[in-house]
Amino acid sequence: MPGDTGQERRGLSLRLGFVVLLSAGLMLADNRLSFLGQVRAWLSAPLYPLQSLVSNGADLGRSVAGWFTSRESLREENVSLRKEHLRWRARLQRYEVLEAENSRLRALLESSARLEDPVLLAETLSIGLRPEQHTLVLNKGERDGVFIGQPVVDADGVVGQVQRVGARSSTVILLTNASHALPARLDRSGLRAVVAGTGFGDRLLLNFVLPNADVRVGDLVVTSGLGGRFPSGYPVGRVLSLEWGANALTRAVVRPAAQPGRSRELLLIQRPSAAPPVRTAHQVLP
Amino acid sequence: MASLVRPWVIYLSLLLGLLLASLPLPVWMRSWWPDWPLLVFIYWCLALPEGLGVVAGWLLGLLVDVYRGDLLGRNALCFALVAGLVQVTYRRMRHYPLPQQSFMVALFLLLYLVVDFLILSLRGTPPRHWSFWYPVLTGMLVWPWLFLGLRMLRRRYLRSR
Repeated sequence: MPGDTGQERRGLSLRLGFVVLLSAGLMLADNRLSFLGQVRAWLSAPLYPLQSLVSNGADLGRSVAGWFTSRESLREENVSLRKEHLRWRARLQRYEVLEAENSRLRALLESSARLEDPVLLAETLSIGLRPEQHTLVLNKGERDGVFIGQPVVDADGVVGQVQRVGARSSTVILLTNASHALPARLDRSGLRAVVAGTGFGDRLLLNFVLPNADVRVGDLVVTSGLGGRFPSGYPVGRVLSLEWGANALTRAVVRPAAQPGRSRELLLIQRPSAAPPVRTAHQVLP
Repeated sequence: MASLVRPWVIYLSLLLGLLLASLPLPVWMRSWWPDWPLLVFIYWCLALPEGLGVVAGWLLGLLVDVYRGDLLGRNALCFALVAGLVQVTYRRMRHYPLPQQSFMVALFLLLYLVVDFLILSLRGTPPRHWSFWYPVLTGMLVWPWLFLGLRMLRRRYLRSR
């Protein structure tokens, strides 16, 4: 029986010490080196059915709940959706005109930048990660062409980037993760800055802004395209407030535009040509 | 565990714990959601200390890491440490009345989260919110029911020793 005699207890502490060392080594390796990615992909393959089982179960529950939705609420939803549809159509007309004009102007400038990037639709696997973790798991993986560092957006803005890729699933690190940062600029003034996650779901920080810089509350922050991972022009968030930071510099609190918890569908932006050489996923962006 | 009649009950309940932990929940509920795989594992450690120990805990924790796409070794280390604690205390724990037992379980969960907190801090991403510690409370409240349920399962399907 373990724990019975001194010898047994020594055995236990020996095993514990071994396991502690092993885990520490594993964590270091996982944090710093990339070769464990393959091991992880290999280990996670048999677990995928379990993840999709949970996800499909949740879908089933939702559709069963859908049968019992009342006619009244469906009608209300229909009316509001119709209104929204109309509003978007109106905006889309303007957009089409603008896009045509833009491409004409670009053709004049002989530049080939495009407004639209090809995207891959992915769903979040609802595997109940704790909110403090600030990561998501998507149902698209290496087989679908997902790569490390691939930008992820939702309908409202940038969500994050792919951190790890498995065969059929991938892990996304969110903008709000405290170890994430991305290069951005202000849409109005063109000021460039780095937007860092804070570990809080509803705020990002624009650090190291000069006190006299042109930042105002309500400014739209978009990706700058510097650093090569995120294409430029995707909304990141809006400046919520300005506060004093370190060394007499100001910092701006930004409310993220994307709400990854709200919808299950996310878009992976495919830009294989612009992908930088892949290195470890924990590397903070320049 | 050669003397066990139906060891698949253990695997099944651990799998069920993993499923429970991964239910899609509203955000406010998610931070209160107890750590089911760990609780189920603690029960089996208490019931069968000869069969499940530090190494089994480490392997199960590794599985949880892979399942959640987490840092490899994070849950593995915590599970192994909790298993070690149970190995040292299971004799006393078995004779405690249920409320006292759940208090001990809360202590285990607290230790688990302290180690987890240290790991996250070393990595540079310490949790910023008190909700990190909520599962200790809910785990303590859930323990008696889990214990009774799993004991029923064990008496029905497992004949140990």
